[in-house]
Amino acid sequence: MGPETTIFAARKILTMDPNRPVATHVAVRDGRILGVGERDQLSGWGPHRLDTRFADKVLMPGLVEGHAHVLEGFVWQHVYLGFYDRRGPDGRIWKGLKSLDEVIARLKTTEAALTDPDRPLIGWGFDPIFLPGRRMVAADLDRVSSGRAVAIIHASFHVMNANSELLRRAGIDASTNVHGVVKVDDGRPTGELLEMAAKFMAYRALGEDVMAAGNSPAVLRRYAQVAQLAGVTTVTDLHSDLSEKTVATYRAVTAEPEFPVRLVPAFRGYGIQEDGVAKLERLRAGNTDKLRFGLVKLIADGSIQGFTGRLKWPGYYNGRPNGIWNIAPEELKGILLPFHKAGFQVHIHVNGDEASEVALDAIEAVLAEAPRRDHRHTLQHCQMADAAQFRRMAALGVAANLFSNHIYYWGDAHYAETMGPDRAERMDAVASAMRCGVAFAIHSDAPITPIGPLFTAWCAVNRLTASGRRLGEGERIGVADALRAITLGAAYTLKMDGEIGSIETGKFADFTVLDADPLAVPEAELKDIGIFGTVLGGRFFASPSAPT
Amino acid sequence: MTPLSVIGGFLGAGKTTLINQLLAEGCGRRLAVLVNDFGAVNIDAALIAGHDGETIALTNGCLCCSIGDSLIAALDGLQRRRVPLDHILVEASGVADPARVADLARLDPALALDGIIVLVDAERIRGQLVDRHIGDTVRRQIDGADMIVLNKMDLPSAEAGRLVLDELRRLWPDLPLVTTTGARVPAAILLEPAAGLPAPAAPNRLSAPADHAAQFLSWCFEADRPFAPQPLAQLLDRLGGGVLRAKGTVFLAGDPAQAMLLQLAGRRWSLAPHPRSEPSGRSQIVFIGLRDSLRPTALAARLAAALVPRRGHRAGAATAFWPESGRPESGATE
Repeated sequence: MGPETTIFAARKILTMDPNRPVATHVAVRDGRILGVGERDQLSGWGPHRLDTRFADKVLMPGLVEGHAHVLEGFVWQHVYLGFYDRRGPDGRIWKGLKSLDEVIARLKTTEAALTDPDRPLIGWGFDPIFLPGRRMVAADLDRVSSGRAVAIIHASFHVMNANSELLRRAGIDASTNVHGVVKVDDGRPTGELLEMAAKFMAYRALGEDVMAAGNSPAVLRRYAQVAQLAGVTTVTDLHSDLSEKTVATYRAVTAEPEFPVRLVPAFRGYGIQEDGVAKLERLRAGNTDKLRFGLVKLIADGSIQGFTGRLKWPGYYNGRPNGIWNIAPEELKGILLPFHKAGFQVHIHVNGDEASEVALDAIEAVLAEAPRRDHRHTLQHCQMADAAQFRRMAALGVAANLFSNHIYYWGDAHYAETMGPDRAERMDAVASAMRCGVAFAIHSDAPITPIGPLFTAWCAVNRLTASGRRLGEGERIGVADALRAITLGAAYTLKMDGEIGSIETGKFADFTVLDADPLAVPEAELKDIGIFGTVLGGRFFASPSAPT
Repeated sequence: MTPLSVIGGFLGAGKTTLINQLLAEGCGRRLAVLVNDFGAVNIDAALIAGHDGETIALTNGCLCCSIGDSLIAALDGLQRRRVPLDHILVEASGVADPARVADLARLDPALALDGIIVLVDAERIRGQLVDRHIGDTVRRQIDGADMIVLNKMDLPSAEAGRLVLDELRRLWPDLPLVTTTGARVPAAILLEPAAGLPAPAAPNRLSAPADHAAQFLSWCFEADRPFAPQPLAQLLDRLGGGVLRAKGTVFLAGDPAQAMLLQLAGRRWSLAPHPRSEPSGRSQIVFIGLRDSLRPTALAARLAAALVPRRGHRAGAATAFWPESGRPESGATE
């Protein structure tokens, strides 16, 4: 008896392969794609089992999220308080909360279910930008509980609110005189804390640093769940210390047959106590089909909505001082060089255009010293790059992964506060990247915004802000290009485009199963297409809404 | 409360060199140092008492800890060790704003911010201040400092060195400044004085390398009358005159039975109830400053002017001495 072959029949298969852009059947053997076409074209491979469960569905290559974080799996341990609907790891849709009262009500419900009185109540995803009226104060959270510590982590992860009990436990009162502790006129803290003060309080509440949260098996499984529900089959964890414990967790959990995604972690390549190149080489030697080491991540600047991104002249629209460097510009080349020489791919977080310029300078210098073809170093976020920077990127062989979700979530703030109208319109300039010949992807940066490549594609196609403003008509792209960005485009930035990103013979049998054809629905409905499930290496993972 | 100091300064200013010296030479304190790059810390193997991954314990009682992913977690880990510590020193990264790092000491009731010391590279600072990418970062670092240590003064020519000093004094006229080479600064300048008050009549030798001792002067002010709070605060806000450090017991009018602890690091000072109250009524403050600009007689007069003007009190007395010679200079304050 030969190897087992399954032929999946679908209403339509979008392959992303120009040789055969559309098909009806795909044959799978040993977790890989054996062939694509009509059924009779595939039957020559011998006996097979015909699987018709997708007969009225549309298959796409498995979606690739090129920039997200395992932290998404961590935050779902706590109660979601965001303004927008968001799907949890169990598939449940958590309704967006449209007022302070709704936030308090959900917290009360959650609090009532807690049995351990000493356990702090933690909420996340709160974003006052969308809630008109006054800011949340400690007294609001005291209504939830006066005896239990309550901490609300904002969507930005840079601001939080505490109740009186948490303030008391942390020893923060009118005598605390610190930048970042928001106070009323009489000197009492309001309970809102910014930046370092927020991190400090969140740490006190959580008992660990939220941004360095431990990647337990449960966290990793939840992360994969959220990704799978969004139709993702390959997901990054784009900034990890890759400690022994983290690596051991990643190895064990990704090896579980029911783990529904391929995981691509990126190693934090600076401030490290060991030889990063040797470590990555060692890790890469143990790569599997579902766990791929080999990316390096560097963070050059901060965020634009937090006014910490590094901007070129004329800087922030509201006159705020320029942002911060996370790595000194002069250090960047020295950090890049060993990884570059050893053949690794470096992804650099650059939000502002000064940061993207400095990153390009560093890459250019590295390439002058150690020329290397097809390095695919990638600028991540790259939100403010203009055409000239994209031309440099094209010339240097640098790829871009643009933060299209920002258009929707913070587009209005960029228009009014951070960038002003004209620069806001050319943020996350996907069309410019295309015109300049830059290989590109688009991303969510989950948990900063929800993971969901179809939504991200919708953002790149429609460029609508939360208030409905069209931001940058000239930077819109077509649906086909957007679909490419969330499959082959992202796969390219991970150097996995030979294995994933399209439905072609030899690649992994990774599919996203859709209820409708994204090329046929109106552009405005791209984000609303139902995800029936995913196929990873030939194995079906159903969405909770779909029959198994 | 454990005092915490922050060492800041741009890449290459000499932070690691300074920390290596503090750890190697000891400083008479159980000091914990939190560093960004463990690999750069160079500790003689003979000094290492133990090493457990994130922390190196030294035979001289000091600890050196890696900050790793999170300074907050590293500080928490240090506090959880429950080892007795006299002082914590945090190395800010080369691009960090040390004032924001210092916020942690202001947030945590178990910590007290001692001071923010920012190292400056004498050879590169003028270029850095106008650099289009990092100029604002470097200026922000110095803006938040309590004291500047202008390092590598051996590198620029005499003329260039003068220009650097002029530039820094023009931009930050109120910021006390120490010049040095090889990041050598006495622990008594960097860290809150460890011991209690010195015996007033004895010379207070700075534990400084011999080649630098001559740069500093230690001087003690004493008074039997209490200080008037407002004039004292105004004086401390605009102390100037080369004072880098002060520590002492102060009695204030209004509550003359409550001994207050005065701590001053550069332009930062604090007055808080003394943990070990000594209701002697006699204020004693030790000042450490730059020999070439600290004028004990003038400072004594200014301090005396901040005392409560009341008859019947004995005059305060000041004693000054040069550390290398121990030659005292005494003078009545009024």
